[in-house]
Amino acid sequence: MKDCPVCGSKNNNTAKFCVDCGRPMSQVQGDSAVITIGRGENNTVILNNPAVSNFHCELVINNGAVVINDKNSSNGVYVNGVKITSKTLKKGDVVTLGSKFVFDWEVYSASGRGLLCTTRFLFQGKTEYIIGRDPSCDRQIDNIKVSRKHCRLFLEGNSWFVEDLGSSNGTFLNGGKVAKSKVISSDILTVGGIPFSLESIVSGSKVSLGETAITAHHLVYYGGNRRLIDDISLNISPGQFVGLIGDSGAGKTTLMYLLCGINRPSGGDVKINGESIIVHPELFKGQFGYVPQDDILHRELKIIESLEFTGKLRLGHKFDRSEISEKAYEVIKKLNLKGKEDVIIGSPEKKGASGGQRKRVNLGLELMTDPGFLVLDEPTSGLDPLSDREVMQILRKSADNGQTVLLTTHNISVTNFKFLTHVIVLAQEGKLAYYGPADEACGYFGVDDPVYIFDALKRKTPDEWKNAYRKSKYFLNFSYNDAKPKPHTSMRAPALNTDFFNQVVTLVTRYFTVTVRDYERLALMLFIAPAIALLVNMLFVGEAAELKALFILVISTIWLGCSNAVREIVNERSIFKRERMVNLSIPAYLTSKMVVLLIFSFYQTTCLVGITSLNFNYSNGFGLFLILFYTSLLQLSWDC
Amino acid sequence: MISAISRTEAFALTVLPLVLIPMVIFAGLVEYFGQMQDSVQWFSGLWLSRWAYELSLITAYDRGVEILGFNYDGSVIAFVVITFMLITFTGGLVWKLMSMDKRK
Repeated sequence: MKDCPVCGSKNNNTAKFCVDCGRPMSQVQGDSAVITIGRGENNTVILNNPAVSNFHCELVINNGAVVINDKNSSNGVYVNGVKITSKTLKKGDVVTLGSKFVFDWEVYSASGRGLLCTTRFLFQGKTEYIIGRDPSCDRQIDNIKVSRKHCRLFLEGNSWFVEDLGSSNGTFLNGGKVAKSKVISSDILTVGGIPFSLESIVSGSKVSLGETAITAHHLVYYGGNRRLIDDISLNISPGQFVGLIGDSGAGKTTLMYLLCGINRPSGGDVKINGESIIVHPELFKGQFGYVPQDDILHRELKIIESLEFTGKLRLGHKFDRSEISEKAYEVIKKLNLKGKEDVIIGSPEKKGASGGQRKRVNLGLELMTDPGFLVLDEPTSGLDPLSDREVMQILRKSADNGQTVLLTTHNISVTNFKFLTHVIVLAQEGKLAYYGPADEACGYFGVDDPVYIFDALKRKTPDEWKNAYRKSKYFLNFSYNDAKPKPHTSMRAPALNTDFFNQVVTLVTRYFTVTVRDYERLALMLFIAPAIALLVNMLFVGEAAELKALFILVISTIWLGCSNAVREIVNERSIFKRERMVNLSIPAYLTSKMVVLLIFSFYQTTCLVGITSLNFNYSNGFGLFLILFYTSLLQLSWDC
Repeated sequence: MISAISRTEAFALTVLPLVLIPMVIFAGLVEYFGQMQDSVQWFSGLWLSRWAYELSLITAYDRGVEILGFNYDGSVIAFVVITFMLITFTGGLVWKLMSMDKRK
């Protein structure tokens, strides 16, 4: 447990960024302290660079005064360009170690918390860094939300500046969008939803996929009069792979819905990197990847098409076809689905991809946008042990890349437990019985195999478990976050596709592909209108039958419209809901439905009027066509 | 609307006849529009087929409309009613879809 030097919130020992204010955690703290700097491993600050001596220099902090002493380094210490052996530093002094490092320092005076001094070192070998997705960039970030050439960091005088290079999702400095701005070490630069410090870019440290910390603050949820979630607080750090387990009805799904903002808590708050998702749900739409339990997929599509359409729908405004297709193949590779790209997803009844493959595609849809926080509802239920392990491996890899992963599961075998870094155990009535490292859970519950945890849960009442956990050391480390968080806005979610026409085009193409793929139904739809028209011609002859024939035409138009439309939305209900959670626009969705259905209506009306006009002498055949077409339009909005 | 309101496809398909059969009955031919009682004439006005049929007849033929009890002056009203229905149902559909993502 360590305190954030800026806002004072409690953080995990491993946290790189403060969960509440988003500031980096690598600061040194104390009223008086000696900070040694050098290449050797015993230093407070280790700089692994040949230009730095083993013990290069030391900083002596005493009651707010900071003195720097050279420790006989080979390359010397410079303050404002002058070589020194010992000097008291003033705010704004530029310190250089040798000629390579600019030493950027800052003193905070946080009231009641003593004096804090941050130390950061900027490698000055280069004076310009291009950041982007392109391999030619100085810092390549392999994330779809980052543009090919996203932004440029450069040294001008003694200051670093950041400049956006016309990126699609923008460059953010401490939460504000910037075109060009000065950067200091404590600033957080956000590129495609991924936060960086200046240091992490110039020092060349590993860039991870995302840095999304989730904190739950005293979550309470009532369903009717029953308390389903009972005062749960959680700190989930980036890179954690958390399993959420508990008996059926303990509130696993409810807790998961609360954490990713699907349901609104009755009390408490959920924060992503310090910002409430309840107050600003729209900011985080692109940062969550919620993978539902059922495979919510268009079964008529090929695996690769399914990924590509989702990619286009969510990111199509910023990326062209080839980029999205590239990304889809990358996801295919991640999912171990190489060679299966062209398999039709199908369903258990209709042969197609296997159950495990479908689950992976279901997960893959969310991976298309590289979300920082992946939430999965029973991703392995109903899978054979091999597919189960494969899915867990894929998720573990995502977590190792810095994504935060949370899943509910019933499978708590030893093998599965090994993939998880942490587990949350819920007792009945939504009470938190344990949240801590996965490998210490068995010890906590006094069992030797995780499958017996549920048995152990029955030995005490839920309230006893809740109270026992509050007294344990894990509570302080993983759940306690009472510190008042500061408002912070550094990690805005990247812009998702909200372009109406772009969405319509993607949806129409997808819908058309789905419809055309169902050959039998398509053939029938094309056959039925001419068939009816011919029957009308056959049966009704002469003026006397005109009224009847037209009656059949009107009824057919309405009826055919019905049979086309009535299945549409109800069958896509779950897909609609899933995409609504991300970025689907209702007008775009409806327009796409109407466009495709109207193409069919157009064909059917043309057949009906055209063929019957051979037999009947319409005074205004084109007018009749227009009226019937208009009728079918109304019919569609009625039936859809 | 029907598809959006239904929770399952089976429900949607079961509800469908409830809409389609009145469409047939009240269109104005099975029972001539002119022979319906006044109250039934009003009720038939709720169904799209009655307006679509009248409008189609007036457009397609210069004769025969009177037999059913329709009127050659009726085309504007029929068109307005159809348009009104179109706006209402599209609005209802959008409202229904929007209400689907309300958070609990």
